[in-house]
Amino acid sequence: MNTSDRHHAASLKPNRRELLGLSAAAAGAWASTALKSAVAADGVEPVRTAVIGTGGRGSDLIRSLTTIEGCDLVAIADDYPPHLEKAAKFAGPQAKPYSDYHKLLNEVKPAAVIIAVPLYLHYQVASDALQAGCDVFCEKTMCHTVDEARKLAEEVDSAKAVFQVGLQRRANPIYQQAAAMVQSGVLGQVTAVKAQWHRNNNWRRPVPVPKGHADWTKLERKLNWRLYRDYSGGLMTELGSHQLDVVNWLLGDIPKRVIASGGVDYWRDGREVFDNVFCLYEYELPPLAGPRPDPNAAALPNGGTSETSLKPYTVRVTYSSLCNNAYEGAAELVMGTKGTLYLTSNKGLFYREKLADDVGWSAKKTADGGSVDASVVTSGKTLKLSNSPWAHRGEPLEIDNLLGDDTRDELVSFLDHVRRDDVQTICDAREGLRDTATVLTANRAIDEQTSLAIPRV
Amino acid sequence: MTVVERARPAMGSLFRLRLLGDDADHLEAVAEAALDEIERIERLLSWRDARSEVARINREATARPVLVDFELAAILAQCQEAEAATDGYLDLAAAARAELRETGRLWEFDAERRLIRFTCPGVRLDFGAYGKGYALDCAAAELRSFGITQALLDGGTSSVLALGTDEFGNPWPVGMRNPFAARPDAKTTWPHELGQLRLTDLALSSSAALDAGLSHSADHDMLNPRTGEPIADPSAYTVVAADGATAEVLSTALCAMGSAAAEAYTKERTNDLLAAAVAIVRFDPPQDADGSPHLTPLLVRRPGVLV
Repeated sequence: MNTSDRHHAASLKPNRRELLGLSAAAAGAWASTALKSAVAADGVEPVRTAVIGTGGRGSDLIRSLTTIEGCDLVAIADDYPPHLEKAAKFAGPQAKPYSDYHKLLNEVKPAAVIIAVPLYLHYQVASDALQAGCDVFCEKTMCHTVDEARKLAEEVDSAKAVFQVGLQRRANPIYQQAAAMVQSGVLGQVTAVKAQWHRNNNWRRPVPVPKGHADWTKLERKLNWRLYRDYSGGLMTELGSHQLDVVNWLLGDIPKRVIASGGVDYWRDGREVFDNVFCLYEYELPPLAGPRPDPNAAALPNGGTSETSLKPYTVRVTYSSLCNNAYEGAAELVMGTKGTLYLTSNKGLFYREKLADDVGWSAKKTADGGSVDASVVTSGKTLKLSNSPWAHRGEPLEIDNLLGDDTRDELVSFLDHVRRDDVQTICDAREGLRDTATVLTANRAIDEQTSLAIPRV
Repeated sequence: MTVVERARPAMGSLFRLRLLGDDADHLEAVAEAALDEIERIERLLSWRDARSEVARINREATARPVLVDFELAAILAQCQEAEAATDGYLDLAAAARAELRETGRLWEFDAERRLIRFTCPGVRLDFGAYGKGYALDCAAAELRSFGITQALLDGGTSSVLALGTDEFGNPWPVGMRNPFAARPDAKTTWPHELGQLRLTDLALSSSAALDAGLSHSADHDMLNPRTGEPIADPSAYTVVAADGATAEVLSTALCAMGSAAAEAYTKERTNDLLAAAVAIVRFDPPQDADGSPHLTPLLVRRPGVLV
């Protein structure tokens, strides 16, 4: 692919502001069509693809890549032989294994590189792949520091490369539907979000040699890199990044500041990353970037004038992640003045708010449709509401994921963008940078025990 | 000796692990890894999960050939061989309506290109006669790779895999419950257990078509894949084999065959599936009103397995 093509594609990139509201819904629908066209593309030149990092997540990506018609998986790389050997079986005989990814880049010259190495290596590997002229798919979180993420985003821009961050909810039809609902005002004004990822396990990977073995410490740190600060940002980068990306996407901006608390309070086993985190983010949304004002809405209690309604308003978002109680699982709850969205990767639920005009007095009709001239009809037994504690929520509108696996779909979308040399991927480097700044600032706020502004990126 | 027990729901039942070793932290981490592996196989094979590979095949393979990954390609090839070896009594498309069967082969797999396609609409692949056994095999491989030599694994109690010996150094004892005790005509005098197995580095699978022949039953639990009809005579089988997938396939196919054909198949045929079988036990309903269910060993290749 040549540079002038890339430049052309980059110049077509629409301004982010234009993607709010209904056009965002259309963009979502278009993205789904693109997924299908790529899968069905018979006779299309396959993209020569390599995977760097073949542990658990890398193997997931490898398995998905081998089911995509337009993908030619030519090579895989990992410096840990057991992972490379295991992944080679999933990758197939046509994929050449490498222990050194530099050698892979030099010898194989893939068109696209998929990166699933530990977080602290993301910047270096991605930067090397860009240098080698590759388009890049990099697992989340994009980088280990905000500075690295900023540098990487600049390098992507100047290379005019196709770049996507592995935040796969962007490819999930439930979240695409949710984004369209939020941005077209179905929820009214979104005023708060509550998100969490709660699990109950020690988050440790087993080490293949017994404790006391000469290599145990080295291997333990290598395989459990998620638990050590030199390699990982812990719960915020490994889990929170997915969900705060959803919030950034749905609200159309990144937060202004964060207050957070966390610690190593239960799994006191030598890990350095927090085993529980609680964050409170403040987003300041200009009215135009938020949901459309409802022309029928009642006046605000303070007699809201057009002037006050133009002021930015604050949306507060709480986020928590635990390793010792799984009751709430992983979900996001998006709360608006007209309704609530409960979101998970395989199920979405939308509950309408009970609004003031729902009391039923204004419609002077009996249940069977006959007109009455009384304000209320009485006598006989009390009309009882259901005893169910959930009754006030009413029946939800259900949003199902019937289309498939978002990991596979995000890769189909990426390869489709590579083939068309379209840099406007479903989660580009700028989005990755915003996500990185959002989650890493919370970690810093916990360490410094203060509220911190999110760097404007 | 430390014992770690863990469980996780998967494939519509509960998978349980019992690991023996010296280091509790290590055992716990390995147990999680093995359960993750079982969950991975569920995500590969469960047609009920829209995200699974098999669900993708079921959605798309009528319209056009679907490219599958190397692991599923190997599984499909293995199931095709098993289908031939069981005279069609293992059938991944068994859920298809009877009238479709008359049209001939319902799915075709090109192993070289890893492409599967359905020959007509209405076909659905279901790995219920394979998945739990394969999941246990994969979990056991994960355990071995982290140095675990003693473990007992089960999926919904109908699929079991034993590594090494129990905490006393003996082969793992596995009871065989009386499958007919679940029937509405069960008598309290019937025994709860009909026998025991002793397993070391072996897997087993149990299948049952208990409602067969009972007039009350509107919803039969197993169909004869060759006819699409409910299975004629009530039967239950437990198959012990070198690996879980073989045990799973054989126990299901024998059940579908019916008693006489299953007995003849076990005693007269030779193929790779039967070669991997170590013991085959049939459970028979009571012969008359005063009788009691009992078991009939159809094949015992290793002394001491059946006690």
